[in-house]
Amino acid sequence: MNRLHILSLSLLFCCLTMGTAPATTLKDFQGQKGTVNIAGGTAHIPVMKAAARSIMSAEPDIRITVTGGGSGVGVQQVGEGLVDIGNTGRALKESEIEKYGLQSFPFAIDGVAVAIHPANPVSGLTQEQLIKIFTGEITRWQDLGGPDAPITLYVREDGSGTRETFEERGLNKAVPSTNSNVSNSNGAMKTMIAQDKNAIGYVGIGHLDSSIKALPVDGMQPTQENAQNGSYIITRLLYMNTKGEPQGLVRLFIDYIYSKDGQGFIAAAGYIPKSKD
Amino acid sequence: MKRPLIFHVFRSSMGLSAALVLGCVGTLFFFLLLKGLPTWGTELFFGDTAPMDAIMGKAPVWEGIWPAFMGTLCLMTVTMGLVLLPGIGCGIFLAEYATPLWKKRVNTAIDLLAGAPSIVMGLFGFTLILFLRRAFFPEANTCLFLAAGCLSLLVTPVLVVNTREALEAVPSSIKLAATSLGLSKNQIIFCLAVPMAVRGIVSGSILAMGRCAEDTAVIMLTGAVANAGLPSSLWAKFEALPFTIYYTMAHYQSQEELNLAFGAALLLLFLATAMVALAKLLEVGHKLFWQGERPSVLQ
Repeated sequence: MNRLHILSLSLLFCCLTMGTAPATTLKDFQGQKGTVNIAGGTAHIPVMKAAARSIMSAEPDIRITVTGGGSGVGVQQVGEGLVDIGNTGRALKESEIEKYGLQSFPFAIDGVAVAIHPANPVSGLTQEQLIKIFTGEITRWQDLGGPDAPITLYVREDGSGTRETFEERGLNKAVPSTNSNVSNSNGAMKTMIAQDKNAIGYVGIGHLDSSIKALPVDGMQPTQENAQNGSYIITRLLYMNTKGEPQGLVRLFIDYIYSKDGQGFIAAAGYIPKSKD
Repeated sequence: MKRPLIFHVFRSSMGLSAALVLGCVGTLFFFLLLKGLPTWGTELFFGDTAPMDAIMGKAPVWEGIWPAFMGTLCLMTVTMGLVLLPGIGCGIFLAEYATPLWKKRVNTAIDLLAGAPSIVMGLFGFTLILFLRRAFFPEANTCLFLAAGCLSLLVTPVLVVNTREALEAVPSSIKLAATSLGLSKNQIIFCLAVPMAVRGIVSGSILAMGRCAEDTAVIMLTGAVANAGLPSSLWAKFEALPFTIYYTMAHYQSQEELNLAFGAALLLLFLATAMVALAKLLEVGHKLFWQGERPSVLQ
């Protein structure tokens, strides 16, 4: 490899890294004041909170409020102008973009993993089995090579982005049985599965730990790496949405989420950072 | 005389009902103490911020319930500031001045208001803001003042009904005697009836304050958010204990986060107890002042 080659490669690398991480740092917030209100997807909250904390600690004149409500609330509130950033755990619908003139900023990838109790010997499922389980066709673990026990289904609440992703990608849009228990968050889902030997449910990959057992589906291992390289397909993007082109402090905040600091917050919350398009 | 069996059945079932209530409240207290008390400490309130810095407002609190506690206190203060005068005033009007026709009209309105679920007040506030934004103030947004305004609508009936009933309970013989002594109607109301009814009015106000502290549905639609720091102005979003509890219970990610909710619930319970104690204290003071007697609680 000659010198020119190395030079152009390193130049290319510089361009790429600059492209992936905008140079926004806490310094850019210096002397700024004002409020940024954020609402919507609950999965986003840890990232938003961490960023808000870091910014507000450096610049006390900036106020950032964060609340959840779900993807639907995020779209509505940002559309009506009640908040500056409305978060969604799904892509906006065409009708929503048209109605409100929204702009989307995908910033992280989140995978959804099927999970069971750690004591359950079942070690993997096919997608077909998964659909049959959640639609209520298979009701006992012994049909799947497990213990002689009924299956308890756990799903997320209506409007949850995690639920939408799981049903669309994991269940091929099949409708889950009405006979399932509903939990309101990844944390609650984890607790429920960990306490019920016959449970099956799903959580964001970032929430996996030893208290529950993640199952491969069709041989796809639910890990962050696989979600990122596309070999695990039950994934979704997390979006920030603004009404029109973001300005001033809101623009800075969004750029900050894409910055190196922001990527750190995203990784700490259990997601994979996505570079700005 | 031998009492019939039915009397004994009736009496013991009433006793059982009372025991049931005591048992339920006791279990609730015990459960909350068991779950909440271990979390109590500076960390629950202030996270990793130094407590003095947090109390003085020098450093923001991120992991604790201090901002939510202060938010709730602010919310109660603003709401009571908005509702005390009109609420008590309306009660006095109903008891002393209103003609039967007006009594009927206003009472119907109060009953309707009392029957409205709190989420309706929240929705009202939310749509009001949407309307205001489109029509007059594009900058209007959900905030502490809006939440307090909607809450004051919610608690108005409590205040009005308590004031009215307290005034109506003043014996008419006293009023009659005062009239015969030549006192005017206003003198009778403000020098005799209202002071005699203060106990009922105060307990109504305390009930209303309790309602402000605990209501979640109204504030979640009108300005309470999961993370806002200390309340900065009437026009800013804020944190509040009941919303923090509701929110954490619904969306907790880890056991520590869930414990935070129990800690906050215990704090709310103590806040309610403190208010009941305050009401009792005012009652005692009132009796001493107006009747010059030591009330039974002190004997």
